[in-house]
Amino acid sequence: MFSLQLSRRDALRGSIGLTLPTLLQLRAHSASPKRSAKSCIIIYLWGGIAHQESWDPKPHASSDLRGEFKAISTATPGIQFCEHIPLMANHSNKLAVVRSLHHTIGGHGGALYNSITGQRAPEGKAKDRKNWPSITSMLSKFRDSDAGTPRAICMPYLNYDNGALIQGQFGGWLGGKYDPIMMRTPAGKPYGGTSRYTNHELDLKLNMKRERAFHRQGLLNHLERQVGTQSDFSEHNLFRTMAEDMLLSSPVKEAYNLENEDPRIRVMYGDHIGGQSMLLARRLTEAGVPIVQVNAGAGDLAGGGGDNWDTHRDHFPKMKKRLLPVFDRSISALLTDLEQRGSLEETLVAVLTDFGRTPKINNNGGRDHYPAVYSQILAGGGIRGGQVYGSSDVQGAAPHDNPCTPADFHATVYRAMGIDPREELRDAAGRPFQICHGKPLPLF
Amino acid sequence: MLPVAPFRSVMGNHYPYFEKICSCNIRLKRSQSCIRTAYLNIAAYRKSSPVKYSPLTFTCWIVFTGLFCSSFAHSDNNLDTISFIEKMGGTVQQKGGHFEIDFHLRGRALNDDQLSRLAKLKNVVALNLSNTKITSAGLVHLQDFDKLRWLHLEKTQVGDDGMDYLSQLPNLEYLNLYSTNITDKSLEKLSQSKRLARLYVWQTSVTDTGVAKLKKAIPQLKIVRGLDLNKLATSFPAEAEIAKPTLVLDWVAINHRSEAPPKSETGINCQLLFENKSAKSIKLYWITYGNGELQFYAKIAPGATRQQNSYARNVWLVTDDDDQPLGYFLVGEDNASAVIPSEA
Repeated sequence: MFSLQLSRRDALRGSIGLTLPTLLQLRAHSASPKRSAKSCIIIYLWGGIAHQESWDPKPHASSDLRGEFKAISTATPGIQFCEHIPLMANHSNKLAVVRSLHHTIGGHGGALYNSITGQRAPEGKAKDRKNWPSITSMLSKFRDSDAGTPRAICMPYLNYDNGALIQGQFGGWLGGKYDPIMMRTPAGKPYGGTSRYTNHELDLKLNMKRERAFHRQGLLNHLERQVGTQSDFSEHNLFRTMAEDMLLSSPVKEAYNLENEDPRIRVMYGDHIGGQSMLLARRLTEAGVPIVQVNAGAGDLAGGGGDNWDTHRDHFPKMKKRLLPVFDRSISALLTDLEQRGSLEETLVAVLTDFGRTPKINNNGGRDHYPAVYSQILAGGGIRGGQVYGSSDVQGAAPHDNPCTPADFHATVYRAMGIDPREELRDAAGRPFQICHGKPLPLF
Repeated sequence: MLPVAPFRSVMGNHYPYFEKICSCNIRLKRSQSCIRTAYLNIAAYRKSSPVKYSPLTFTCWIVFTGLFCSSFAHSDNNLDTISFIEKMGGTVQQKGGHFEIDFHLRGRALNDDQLSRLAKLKNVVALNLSNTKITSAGLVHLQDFDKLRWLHLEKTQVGDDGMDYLSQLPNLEYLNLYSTNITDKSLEKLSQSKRLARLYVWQTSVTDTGVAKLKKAIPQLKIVRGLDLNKLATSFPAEAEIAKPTLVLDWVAINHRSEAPPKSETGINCQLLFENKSAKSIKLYWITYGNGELQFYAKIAPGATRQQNSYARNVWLVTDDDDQPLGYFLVGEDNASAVIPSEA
């Protein structure tokens, strides 16, 4: 029979159905699949939250450094937080606290760029297409959403310093299609860790108009520089379609209306833009928006009508009375709410900031910029809770063990989202870029 | 060049489908290449064979190829089911031969009858039916989903009767029943699900006793009951008051003979409390560093106040609604009030 006439080579080539590698691959596939997070909520604390007065208290630092707040125990034995985030202390078993982050950039602009893109800021404009994409934009590149549902939304404003828009908050070389859609939060008072850039009250309709106008202006500028290309048109078309879908049909519109939420849940998040933005973030992820960024901290460091984390003066009263209580209330409400709805394990929550603050308290009772060591946290999305990665020294002045970088933190986020951080993407000119140069931290 | 005709003869008109399936399923792609190799071998055999092409060889060949194809005959069903799911607004993801199916966004019209169509699909590991029209009766169609690990049924009409079908699922580890009609009876039935690791029962009628019993039956199980909304506050608490600054900035009125206000310079961060004591609504502009441009910040109604972040030696210009300058403030080294006077 012909089976006898099969040569050895034929057999090896696979004519007998399965080769060893195929068999091994099949076995690998039949093993239980690991599930990655479906959506991600990025919370950005603009201005730089003091690591000492949040996730990494320093009760044993010398008296001129340790400040006036105490450390309290959390739900996890061995982990302590600052006394003014008691609600988050109850959630410690959901958190992975990274206490050994560090970089070298002392200004807000460069630090935000580094923190949100994982790269050093190049010279350039805020919306330059040569910029590296923000983590929000990059993640959205790997997530599809239904027609009319944005892949990424950013609330409630962009971050400015002295009226200047900070670079790194957009799609960069991924293209305008991956700029997050900006949304105002429709409710909440402008205080405690959040405010807005101007007082213009915008509803969703105006929001989108503004976005469209903004984008059209950008397109116009682009067209003036070079002959229009297909991509200009498709970008334009994308935004037009998206605006219409959002206004008319999308569940996003439903989610945006906070009046539809149980009033008790709204109260739980707090009556401030920060809290209501986090509530909106939950509602938007439920409505199918895969990536949501909440900027918590006055939109403009110089001119925000509310508070921000850049506490060069009166650090302790500001933190105690306004910033920490509001932040503690809203982010712990978010974790409680995601957990009770059963969506925390599918939703990664990542809290990012510019940098930490100086161990030494300055003459105005403030702490200044300090990138040499700081803390950020992760929760949900398959991250193992109740753990601390790395540590700072006893004064909170330098990483003590396992130092890591913003890029490592990003790589961890990518892994949680089921994205290989070494994945290569190409920009419009076809140049290859590896999406992240960090190594995932062992937090799973 | 591979002739597709022999495949057609075996698979009839399904070949285009076959290619489509292959393009979306890695495992089947591999089968496709197996068949290709098999076909090449047969072709080579026919060329080299001294025996001329005979009906017997042809039959052997058909049988041989048929054997390979039969191994994924069910794919045709899969394809039908997948297109049905997509037609219903659901989404299907395939990961290494496993299916993850969601209906919770645009597939909310899904009902029990339509769910029966899914029963044909093997290897479903995750199924999201939240917010759909599924009831307990519909869950009968899930009873053969022996690979199922994650099941979302929250915000549906599912009740205790449905648990009879779920308790038999051998691999179920995540079950979301929040805002459904379940009671302690459901928890009793679920005590058979020994692999269950997370159970969500917020906004249901389960009681402490029921939960404690189940916890005893499955020790590793985490049961999330959520908050009792009735115990939550129904109105926002008053916001923390900021102490009113004691320092008051000088108001520099502007008239037609005044010089232009100075540009802002940088200094230490401080907070201002603007208070509009005039009878009209005013606009607040910050004069920028460098070029001394005007940057609009806020409108302040008569009698209203505004908390404003600023820096020492910044300059804040106040105008009326028509942008006619009224006066300005030069910020000092400390937190301060900035009162727009009644005569402004």
